[in-house]
Amino acid sequence: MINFNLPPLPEEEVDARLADMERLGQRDYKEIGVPMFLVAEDLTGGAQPRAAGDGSGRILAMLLAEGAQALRTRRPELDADDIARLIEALADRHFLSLAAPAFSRATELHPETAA
Amino acid sequence: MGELLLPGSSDEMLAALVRGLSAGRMLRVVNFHATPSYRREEYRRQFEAYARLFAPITWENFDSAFDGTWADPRPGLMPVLFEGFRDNVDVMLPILEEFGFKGWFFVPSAFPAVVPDVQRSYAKAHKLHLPSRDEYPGERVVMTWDEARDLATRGHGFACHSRSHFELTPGTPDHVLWDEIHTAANEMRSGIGWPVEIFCWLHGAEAGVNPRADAMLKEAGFRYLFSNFKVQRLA
Repeated sequence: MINFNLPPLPEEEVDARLADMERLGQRDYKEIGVPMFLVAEDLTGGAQPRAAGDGSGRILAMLLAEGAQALRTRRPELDADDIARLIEALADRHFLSLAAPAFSRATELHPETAA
Repeated sequence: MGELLLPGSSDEMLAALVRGLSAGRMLRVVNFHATPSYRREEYRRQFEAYARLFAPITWENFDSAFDGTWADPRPGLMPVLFEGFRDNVDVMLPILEEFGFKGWFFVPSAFPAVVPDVQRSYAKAHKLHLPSRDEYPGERVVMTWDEARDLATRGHGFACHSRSHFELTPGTPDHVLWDEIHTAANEMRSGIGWPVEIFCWLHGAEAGVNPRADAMLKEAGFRYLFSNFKVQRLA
């Protein structure tokens, strides 16, 4: 079993996250847009990809690890559906926020600089 | 849920996802199925917001998710529209194009050729969930191949969602695999006008769930497999 060595979440927050996952699972998937993160994996044995991104991937990785650890306090054996719900909740919460530009690069916040 | 299959343990999957995310190897997708007109304003507002934050993922920049060469300061966004419903063309397409995004249409290859009279029955039998309200009474509910070709020539992407909206299992026999992969590839090529490189099973089985299927996908010319948690480059 993976041990991510993260400090545990308070029980109340675990409850809140589980409730959120339950809420999301009740939606009418057949006609709504559902944001998701997909990991890209190269099975061709091609060249190693160079490091990329603005750190949002590492933030998501840590949040996923933390979420998995929290969920294990209630369900020690996670299955594929649990992973799906974890990522769905991550995307619901962070899909937009982690796409926002850095403060100093948000041109609408710095009109004089942009001009 | 309850139908998702993994090629290994949940811990192995979690570890792979944490590694991939940490390396920044990810695609941001928004999954749609039916897109009825009574939700048009909701979709439009969402893409208005997406347009402020994201750049469109296109065929030209798709591979950068794998090699870390994404150039736009904004992250990429891939709107995925499953099943090939007619309302994707009538309702969602104008919204995508208004905000400069490319749609990625994941179509079960047998669906567009089903005659309109039995499309609803076919959908019900194959877990293709139509919207709550029927907006095309007495008419077709699936996009036509003519429409699909038109979308493809306008730069929108297509993927093969198996032939019959099929759920892969480790024991799926070869003759069924052949139909769901090779026949589907041929139907997509014939319908769109050129080969389709992306494949996706119902319920998103990934490489390793059925190694015979993986080999056949490569044989049929598919280069990418979309699954529940990953997009995998096969060739």
